[in-house]
Amino acid sequence: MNAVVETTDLTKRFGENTALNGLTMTVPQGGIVGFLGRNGSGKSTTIKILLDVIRRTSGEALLLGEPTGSVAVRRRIGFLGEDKRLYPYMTVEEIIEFTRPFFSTWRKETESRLLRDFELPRNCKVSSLSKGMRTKLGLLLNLCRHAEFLILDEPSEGLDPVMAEQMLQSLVQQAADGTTIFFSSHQISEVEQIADHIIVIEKGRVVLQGPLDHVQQKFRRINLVFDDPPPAEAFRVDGVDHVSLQGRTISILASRNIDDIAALGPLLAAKSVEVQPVGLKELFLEKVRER
Amino acid sequence: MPIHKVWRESRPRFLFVLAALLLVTAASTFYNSTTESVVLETKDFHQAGSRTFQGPLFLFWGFAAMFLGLGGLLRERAVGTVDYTLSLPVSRTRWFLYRAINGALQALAVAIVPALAVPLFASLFGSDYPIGEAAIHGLRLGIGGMLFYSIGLLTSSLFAGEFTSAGLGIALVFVVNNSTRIFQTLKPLNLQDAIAPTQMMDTSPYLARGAMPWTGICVSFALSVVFASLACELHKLRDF
Amino acid sequence: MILRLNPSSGVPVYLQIVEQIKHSIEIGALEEGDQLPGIRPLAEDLVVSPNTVVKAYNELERDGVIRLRHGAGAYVSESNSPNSRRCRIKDASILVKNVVEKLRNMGLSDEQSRRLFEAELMEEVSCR
Repeated sequence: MNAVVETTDLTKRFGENTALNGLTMTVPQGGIVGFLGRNGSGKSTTIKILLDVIRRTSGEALLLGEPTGSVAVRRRIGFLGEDKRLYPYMTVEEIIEFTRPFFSTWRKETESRLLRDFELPRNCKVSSLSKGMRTKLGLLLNLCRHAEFLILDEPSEGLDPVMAEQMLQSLVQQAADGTTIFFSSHQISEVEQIADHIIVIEKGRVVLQGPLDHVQQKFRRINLVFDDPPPAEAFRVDGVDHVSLQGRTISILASRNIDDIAALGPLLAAKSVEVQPVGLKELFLEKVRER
Repeated sequence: MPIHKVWRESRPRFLFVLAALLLVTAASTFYNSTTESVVLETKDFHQAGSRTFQGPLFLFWGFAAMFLGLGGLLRERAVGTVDYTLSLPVSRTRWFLYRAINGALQALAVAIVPALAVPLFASLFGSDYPIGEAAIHGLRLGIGGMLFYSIGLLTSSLFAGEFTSAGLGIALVFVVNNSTRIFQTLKPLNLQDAIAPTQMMDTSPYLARGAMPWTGICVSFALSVVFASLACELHKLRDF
Repeated sequence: MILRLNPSSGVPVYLQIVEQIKHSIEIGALEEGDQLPGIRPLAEDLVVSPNTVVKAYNELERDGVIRLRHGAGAYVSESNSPNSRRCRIKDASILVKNVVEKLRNMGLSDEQSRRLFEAELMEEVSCR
């Protein structure tokens, strides 16, 4: 399987500030990739480098196999920015007319269908559209070109729940057509819903990446209840990522040797041992706080 | 079409500049500030015309041309649409070329149209001014003065802020204009002499005589190409 | 098909789909020979990645619960196929493992647990 995006040790410095610090990540072809990170973690910087809006300081970044900056590659991709700003003086119709000729894979049937479904008024100027409408327009401009790869920066930001679900559904449809989708989001629940692969970035580096179900099956929360005092030190073993103490309960986040760790419970006379799956939000918070 | 977008975005600026220059031309043509007489009475449009071409039109056009050079992708960054524009399959060089050519044509237009207004004003008030002459003055101003336009292109590729690049541009226009007048060795390169018909003017009937200052015009145009290329390279290198 | 997914539970979505389809079959909502939705329509309906649905269907096929007829869709298999029996045994052994673990954690000895099981199974027999 070819990687749609491949970065190796990607670094970007803005004067004194290091926005990306050796970012190495791979976006596999086909499927939906969720890109998670706090504000200021380097998400937008990464996306801008992929689009060649800003230039990298060092390291490598490949988009569809070519170094970033290739005009030919940009004919095969789509992009929806965080701001969702489009030319304010153009009407909906005009900006569609403007964008269409750039993409030979544009389908007019998709255009008509989405104009109808998204209820976008053709003769309305972009400047008079609400943010939600602008997002839908931006989405339309991208979906009609049936690109190989779609990059979306916070696509559901500013959308009400109904619009957000509509948007997610359009992305699923595109993915079913073979487009690889890469979207950054603060809505972790959205990522859990539609992503099959995740990349988590913090302070300009990847802290977690892989197929989402692998990640979900790998990590476990093990809660052990003891009589006082709970022997927390005994649990600093291989596979344990984080140990926390809450009264008589030791709560462990583990990524390996789950069975062995859980087995320590009865050995140390635990009153109860519970092994539970870990939600992505919990995992994300642990991983970014670690640093 | 990309060039259509570039034109539309430059349209308000262009129309504003054209209107301003037409006003300046009209004011200067109809009112002689040195003698404080209104030309309608004297009906000497030849003198008025030549005075206009030598002074106000040259001066104002220089700044106007520079102003037309500002704008472009850095302005788009301020508006927020630059990400969308740069994500399209169009190279930065191409965007720059579209803008540079569009702006150059506009700069030429705002030299020629006001120039041609002089014969128009003259004929409206029962006098005359040779159209051919006016056209040539306008063309020479536009082509020879491209340097001012390219100063605008250059400063706007260096600074994102419109005021910063405008300020630097104005300063450069002044420097270019006055240094060639002050320093004797540079006098042959004086822009005003090259593109405004000071040397050529016959005192009466205030029509052009003598050879065209080709050297000055060519050097000036060549320099403007250099500045424009520099601006293009800066566009390719920078972060947006 | 009515599936209620909880993507934030930490349980992979594809596994949730597998479990719920199996459950639908167990309670009779889906019967032998019924056609399941195509990968694309199901993905759009659930608003999940098509890859997730593919993974779920592949697992269900591996477990013998459904049959994927190339180009013609997915169908619920006959319950007597060797594959589905194997799958039921597999599911059962996981259940047993969990129960045994729980009982051990509660402090019961294996002897005590065995006696409880036998008692329960005997009762089932005597009730019939």
